[in-house]
Amino acid sequence: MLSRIKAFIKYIRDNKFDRSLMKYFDWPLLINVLAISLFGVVCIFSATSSQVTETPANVIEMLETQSVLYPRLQLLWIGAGMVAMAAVIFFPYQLYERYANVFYAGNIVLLSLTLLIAQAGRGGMTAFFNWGSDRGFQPSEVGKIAIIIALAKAFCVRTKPIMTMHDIIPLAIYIGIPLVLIVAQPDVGTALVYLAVFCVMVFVSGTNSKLIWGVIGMMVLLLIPLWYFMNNSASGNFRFTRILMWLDPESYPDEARQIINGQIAIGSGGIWGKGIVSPGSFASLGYISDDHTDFIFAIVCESFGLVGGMALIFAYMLLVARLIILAMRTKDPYGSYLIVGVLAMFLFHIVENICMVIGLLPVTGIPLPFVSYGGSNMLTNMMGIGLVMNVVMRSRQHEQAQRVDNDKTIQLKRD
Amino acid sequence: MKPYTKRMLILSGILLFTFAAMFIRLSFMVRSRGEAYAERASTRSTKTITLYGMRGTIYDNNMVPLAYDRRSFNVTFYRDPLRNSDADRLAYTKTLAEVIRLVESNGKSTVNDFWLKKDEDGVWRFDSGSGSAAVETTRENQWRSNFYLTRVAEEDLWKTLLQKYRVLEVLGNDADEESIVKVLALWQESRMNAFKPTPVTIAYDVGYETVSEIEVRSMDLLGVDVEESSSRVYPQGETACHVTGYTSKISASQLESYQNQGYPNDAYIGSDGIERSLEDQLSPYIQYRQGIRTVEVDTRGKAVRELSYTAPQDGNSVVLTIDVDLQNYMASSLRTAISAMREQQDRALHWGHWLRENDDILKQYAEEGREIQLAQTGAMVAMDPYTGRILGMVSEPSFDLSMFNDGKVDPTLWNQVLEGNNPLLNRAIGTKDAPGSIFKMVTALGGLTEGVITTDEIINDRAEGFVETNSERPAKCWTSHPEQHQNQNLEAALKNSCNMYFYTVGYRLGIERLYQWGAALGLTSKTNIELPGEATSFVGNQHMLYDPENPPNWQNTAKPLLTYNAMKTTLLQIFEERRMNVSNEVLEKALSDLMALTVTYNTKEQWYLPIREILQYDIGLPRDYISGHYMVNTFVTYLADIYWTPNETIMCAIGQSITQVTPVAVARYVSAIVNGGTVYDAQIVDKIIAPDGSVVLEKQPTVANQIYTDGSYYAAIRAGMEDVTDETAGGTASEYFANGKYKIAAKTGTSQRTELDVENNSWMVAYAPAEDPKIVVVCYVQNGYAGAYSAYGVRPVIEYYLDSLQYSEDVSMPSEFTLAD
Repeated sequence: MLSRIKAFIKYIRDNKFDRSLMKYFDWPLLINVLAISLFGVVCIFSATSSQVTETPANVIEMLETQSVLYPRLQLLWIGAGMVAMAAVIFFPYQLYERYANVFYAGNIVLLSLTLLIAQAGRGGMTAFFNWGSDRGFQPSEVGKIAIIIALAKAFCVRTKPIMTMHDIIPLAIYIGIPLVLIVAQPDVGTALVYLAVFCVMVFVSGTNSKLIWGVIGMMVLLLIPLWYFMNNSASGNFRFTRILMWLDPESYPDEARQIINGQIAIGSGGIWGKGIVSPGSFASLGYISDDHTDFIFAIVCESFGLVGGMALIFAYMLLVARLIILAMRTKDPYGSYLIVGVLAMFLFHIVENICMVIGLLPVTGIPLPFVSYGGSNMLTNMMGIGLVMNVVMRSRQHEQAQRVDNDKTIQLKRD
Repeated sequence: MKPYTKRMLILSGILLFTFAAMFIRLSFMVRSRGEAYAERASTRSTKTITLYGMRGTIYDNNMVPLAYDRRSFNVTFYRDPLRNSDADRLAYTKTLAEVIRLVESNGKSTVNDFWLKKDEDGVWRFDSGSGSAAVETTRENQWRSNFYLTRVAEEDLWKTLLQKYRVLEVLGNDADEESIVKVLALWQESRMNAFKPTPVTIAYDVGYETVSEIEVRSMDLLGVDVEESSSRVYPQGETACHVTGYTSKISASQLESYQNQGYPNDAYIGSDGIERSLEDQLSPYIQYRQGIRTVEVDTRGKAVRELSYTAPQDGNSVVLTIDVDLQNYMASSLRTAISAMREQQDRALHWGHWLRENDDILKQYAEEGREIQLAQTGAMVAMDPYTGRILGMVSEPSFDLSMFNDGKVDPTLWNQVLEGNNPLLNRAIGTKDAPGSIFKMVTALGGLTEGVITTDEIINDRAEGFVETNSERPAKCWTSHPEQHQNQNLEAALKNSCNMYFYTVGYRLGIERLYQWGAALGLTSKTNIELPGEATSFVGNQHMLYDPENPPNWQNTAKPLLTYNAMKTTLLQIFEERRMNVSNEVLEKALSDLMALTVTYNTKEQWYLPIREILQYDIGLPRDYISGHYMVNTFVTYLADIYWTPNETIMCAIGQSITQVTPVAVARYVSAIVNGGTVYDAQIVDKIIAPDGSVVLEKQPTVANQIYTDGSYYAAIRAGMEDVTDETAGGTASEYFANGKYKIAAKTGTSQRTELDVENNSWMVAYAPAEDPKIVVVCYVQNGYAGAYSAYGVRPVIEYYLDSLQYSEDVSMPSEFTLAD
């Protein structure tokens, strides 16, 4: 044990953060993320604004008359997220690879602790460690990063793609344990994120189409008893209702109020939006519950209209595209899988969140990355970006070094 | 192993497709359905609140308010339907407890009707106090489902509620039951109205201190708000209570019709008096008077911004013709008169001579357990003879209107009222009774105009009575000294109130003409006074005695029903004796045919044959039986009770028989005598004023009938009435009007109710000043012993009124001398 710690310290000492690494920093990625985050702060301001009788004449007046509690906190989270990102970048990602199992085990421990200790919070969920009155830390959020680190390792060490059921079962158990713990909380949204990361990794690892169809077929078969269970059990009932609500929100005016009001807000925003802090907006009236967290996309569209909503989606597309390109460019398998994992996490969040607000998917409690208010989520997302940045910087440096070596070799050969 | 590039590209393709779907959906939502959503957005976040102004004021003729609305403030509570977690309930319970504290610290109380009551055995059971088992069951089901307690056992209800709403956490474990019930009562109010999107009222009329405290603390008092309202005030207590009337909540049976008119469910409506008859003028709930406020609301239902506002209109105000001071004076005078009558009655009941004379009757009363009825109730009406305007109207007993203040009636007070001698009845318009001698002016005017007498014709009283209509038991005059009623012309006959004179006139006129004159003077129709519950007076004749169109139990008097029952009993007895089987229809048909004979034939002699035929052919009694048992004669006797005879006619001429009149109808009839033949509708509404002060309606006198006849006839009648109060002439009421300030003309009426003279009704009609009448007063006291006693009520009222009239003329007189100086 002691020798292991010694080895760890030595590794850290040998691989100190080299200032020259900053040369390989991926600025477009950071700028994109920061732009989205700052836009998010404005949207949070709009969502948490209180009722006004007329639009304030200028920004100063707006800030003076409205509460800036949440936007300020969100700025704080962004700052904290940048620090966390820096911390993630500081250690070489190979370190994470090496201790992947420790991250995995740590995550399991945290999740178990949550189940045991934490009090039931909102919606009967035990997902938060609480301190103070209503702020809390959500272990399963940061756990996403741990699971990406662990899964990337599990996939990159494989020598051939997953082709048979025999291949997939150990991996399924590996992801299944934390999954069960989260479902037990119960936080189906986050569990789905874990599952999404796993599925995307399986997909890009080159599994054959037979397996894909087989899994899809099995899912469909599984859906039948699940449907039956949801239809009958009391606890499953609300999830079943959520699906019915998604199919036909107007028939559930009370339960689907959030969805209906969200869609009304989007539709009433028009092309250019009502602007932030506008009289009569749903944002200021508080008509949409969770409008500064999960349903913030409705506020984006209400305040900034179709143009604002599309611009945000476009920014996300750039982010995703950038991540895909980076993942393909990275030669190191572990680094590449890390980027894919982060990509999968963002993807699921973005797609599920936006689609649930605009009524394309049923509602699950999932925030919109960098835009929704929330400390744990912001930290997780920034750490995700940090992982990507880490991989990009170090692999580029490595490639550069190799190229220099090659050049040197060529040079030597010439000489 | 690295991820496959091809797979990454496939993934990118899928993503591209997904993002495209988002773009399409988003632009569809905004561009194709944006307008629909925008429309829904504006309706969803707005709330339309109907506003009501204040109910109009009821003024007396000098603009003294009899009833008005006062601005008040209510505390309302709205529970956000989305906030239903345990923590939210705790927060709401805290809020409610705080509201109770605030409201009570300012001396008011919150709504406190809780449907769980503690039994003797200490168990809290459902009891909403409706008293009906069916209502209780429905209410309990409703209550349980609204509280989500459908499957909780009764003994656990209390505990479950305490836990669910976390009352003890807020109030402390040692909280007393009273304060717990207060909190739960408010929860009940909220839960029972959970389906409504509007706040519920949890405290009424809280006062400004509470309002400002609640407004200051609106942030931490979750869902609590203040609402403007108004409550009715009756400042005059018992004064003019019958005229003013009162308001009450809409009853369940009226709800639908009022809802159709746009009234809210908890509206107050006029229940009696002017409040009821002029509801359409006074009420602020009439559709076009309602105001509308459209506000933007947040999810808590709290108004955030006003979008549009139409001010509500207050109801119109009503100015009456009556005067509060005169009303008070009339009420006390009437009470004085009644107590004077009681004094006289008590004296009689303890007087040996009276007791000996009425010995037989008193024994009969004792046998039947009948109580002797003494003066208790009565009414007085004062009218302007030249317009029909009511100057004052009182009814005894009265009730205190202030118990209806603020729309809350104390049940114990209300029960006291209901147990009393029907004080809610306005006896000035709602009771009718035999008029007695005050009817004689009708007979006189009819007789003169029809030419059956002249003003100078002398008709003397006769000791043997009026033998022309009944030779066996001739009707006599009221006096036991007929020699004093000699050498009488009309004037003297009125002064003496001589029955013999008016028997003669009535006999000569015949019932049809007598009835016509009663009708002409307005004694067979309503006076159309603007008050609810007016009874219709009528003058006797065959049609009034028995109307074959109506069933026996639906007639002006009880006589047809008695006759019907007597005949039916007789026939049923015969059927039983003879074991005859006669169907009910045949029996009913025969009975109504028999009774119809009284109307069909003019003399009794013509009845014999048809009676025989009905008994023999319709019912099937054998001929021998009919003649053997004198059946026809038996039935002739029965039918005689509902047959109008000339003897009834002469009784009718002196105001007896079946004639019944209301005090207000008498007032307008006397006014017509005074003003020379114009019969006015009684009028108590002077004008109607809009909230801005403009006059909506200035009511003018309505002429119901105009009698054209010789002016000297009225003069003769008035001369007779003047003599009634004249000492030197020795009129029937002269001792009560001695040494008067003003010359008052009057006529007494003592209508017989029973054999016992103390139970006679007391009537008096009077007008003054005799030479230039300004006021007509009618006083009626049931069982008032004698007409003359009503003078105790009439005389002070007239003098008070004429004094005040004199005073106002004096002050309004232009003072030439001061100008000259």
